[in-house]
Amino acid sequence: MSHNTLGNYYQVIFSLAQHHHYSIADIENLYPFERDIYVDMLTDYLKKLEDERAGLA
Amino acid sequence: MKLPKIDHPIYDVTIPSIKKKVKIRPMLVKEEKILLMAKEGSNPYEIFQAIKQVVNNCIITGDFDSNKLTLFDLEYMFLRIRSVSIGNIVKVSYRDEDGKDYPFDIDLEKIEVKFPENQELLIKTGETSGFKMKYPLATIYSTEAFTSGTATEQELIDELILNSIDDYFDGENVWRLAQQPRNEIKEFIDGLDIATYNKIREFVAALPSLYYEVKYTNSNGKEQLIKLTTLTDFFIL
Repeated sequence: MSHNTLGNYYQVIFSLAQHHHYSIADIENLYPFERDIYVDMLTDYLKKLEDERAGLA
Repeated sequence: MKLPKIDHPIYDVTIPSIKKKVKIRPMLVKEEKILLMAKEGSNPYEIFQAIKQVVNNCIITGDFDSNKLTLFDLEYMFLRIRSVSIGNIVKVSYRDEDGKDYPFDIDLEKIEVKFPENQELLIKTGETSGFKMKYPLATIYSTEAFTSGTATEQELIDELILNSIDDYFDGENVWRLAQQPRNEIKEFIDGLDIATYNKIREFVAALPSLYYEVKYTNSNGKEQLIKLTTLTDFFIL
């Protein structure tokens, strides 16, 4: 289980629930690879938004 | 009877010791949490229990009992479940004697169980007598002898021996050791001649295990070979 730590586990769930309104129960019923895909997609999406904002400024 | 509802991807995996196919599903994020909590505690018994719990949850073949898995079966099944749940590539690094770190990608799909060559499950003590051996079940590692941390190496070997003998036969008589009182089995084993005892001891010292090789050449041009044989090797390296 070297890919993850308990601290990181809770940090990711907190971020998804607090900032992006995912439910904790829904996240816990995903497969770990699905969660990782969603986190990657969300990270890409946020980066795209940030780039667009920077371009507008 | 109503058909079962399938709401998970399902994979076939063959249990190495009995060559029986079972169906597994990936673990869920909440099951990954069980493993991470156990890992945080660093207690080998809790880690073992967490792995057993996850394997038990993820094997979905109806009549299957995970308490009947040997340790190498349990480790193998866990790696397969980990592979379909998180990914089949584990990144590890190894510090060589040259002081440099060498990174590797381990493909969990390529890990096999290695059975010792020429190992037989029959240990003869005479023309018509002998022991029928079996691989000890993983549950042995949750017994007091293995979890207390106070047992001597000899006591652990004795425990393995007690759990590795299936039957003793002499002619047409067969004694199933699991049905005999523990103290009587121990007394019986203590009364064996040294040659037979050593054969049994050799059997338990060379049980099948996970096996994966990593080869690389270090900065001094020396070819190195690392053998990974336990779950700890795959996850701690």
